Amino acid sequence: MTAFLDSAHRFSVGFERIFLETAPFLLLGAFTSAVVAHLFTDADIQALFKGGTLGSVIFGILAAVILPVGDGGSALVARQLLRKGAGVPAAAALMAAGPGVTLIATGAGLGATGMAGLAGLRFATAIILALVFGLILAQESEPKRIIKVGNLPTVGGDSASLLEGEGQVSKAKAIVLTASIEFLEWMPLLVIAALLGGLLQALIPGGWNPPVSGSGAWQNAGSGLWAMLTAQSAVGDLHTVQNGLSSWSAGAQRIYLLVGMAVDVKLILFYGRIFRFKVLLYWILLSLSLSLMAGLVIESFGGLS
Amino acid sequence: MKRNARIKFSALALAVLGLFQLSLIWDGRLADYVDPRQGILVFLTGLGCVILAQVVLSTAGKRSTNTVENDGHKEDSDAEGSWKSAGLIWLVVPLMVFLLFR
Repeated sequence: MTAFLDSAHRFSVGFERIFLETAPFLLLGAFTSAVVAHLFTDADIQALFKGGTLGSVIFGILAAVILPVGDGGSALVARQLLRKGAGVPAAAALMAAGPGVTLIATGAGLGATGMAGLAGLRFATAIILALVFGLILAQESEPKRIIKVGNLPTVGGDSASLLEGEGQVSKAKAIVLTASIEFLEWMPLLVIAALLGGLLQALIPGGWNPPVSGSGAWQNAGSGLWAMLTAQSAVGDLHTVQNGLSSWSAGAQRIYLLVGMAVDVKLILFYGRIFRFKVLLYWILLSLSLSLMAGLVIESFGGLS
Repeated sequence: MKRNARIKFSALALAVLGLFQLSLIWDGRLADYVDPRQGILVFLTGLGCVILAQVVLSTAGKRSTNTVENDGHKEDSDAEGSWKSAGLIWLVVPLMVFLLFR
């Protein structure tokens, strides 16, 4: 009975943590997406995000830095950009870089004591990941083979039919309504991710949670797995690592931050709504291998000061 | 009227979600789930959901008025249009998990 209650408690904490940490970013993403839908024309978006491949990818990353689109919110904005005719590489770069480079996550990293180095590492890795991912996707000339076109929002910012027959409606109201619709549309995915993450957290053995005892590789693996299952936001990741600075190994801290930023339960579900399975698989493999490589490179140079 | 009812239900769901998040801060249980330093994000989200609910509800009210004035000619024409909120029942899950496993 005690074991069941313990598992139930772990499930509850895991579920609510994923839900509560992601909801703010989802709401911000919904608002940003609604603003893009109503304040920018297709021509504006295409002028910025559809030029030469490298240029458009860099614009995508810059947009991710400026816009508050971390942790899931970036998927909503990327989807809206695609609907408005942005190139797939640019939208993918924005989506991939969002969690690691957004101003909220960067600000939280710089503001947290002793975390500036790790936050900087995450920022740089996010940019490299987004750049590589964008350039890989640029090799495919047919967008339909990369994205699920049927899941793009409808023309008119989704609130078109809702507002039909209401005459002149202010843009502010249209933005708020579109944001509500997008937020509610993505909410089931968040709840499914939280259920899945909470369940897996409750089921895996307690010894697998960081700090894991054993070799460095085992500690890193435990840390990476935990980052994927806890699916914390970019801000929550930082706080967790900061709280475990004394007990986690340096490698485990890095892996937790880098993997958590790129691949976790909720992000896989969110990205899977836009990208086809094959692309999603590329993304997971790319981010895991790059995180590992970044860790090895830093290790060979004696770690972060 | 089907779509109008759905809009009202969406507003209700948003309000419940917003109040749920605000209540977690109010009774201090937020610290059981997330780092308290993220309280400001949760607070703003809760507040945002309540405001969204109010705006969505006001739209529903306006639509009702228009429907009466227009003798209800167009209301049900695209009841299954782009108002993609069919999964609203999902919003109940966080509350259930909170209440059952707290």
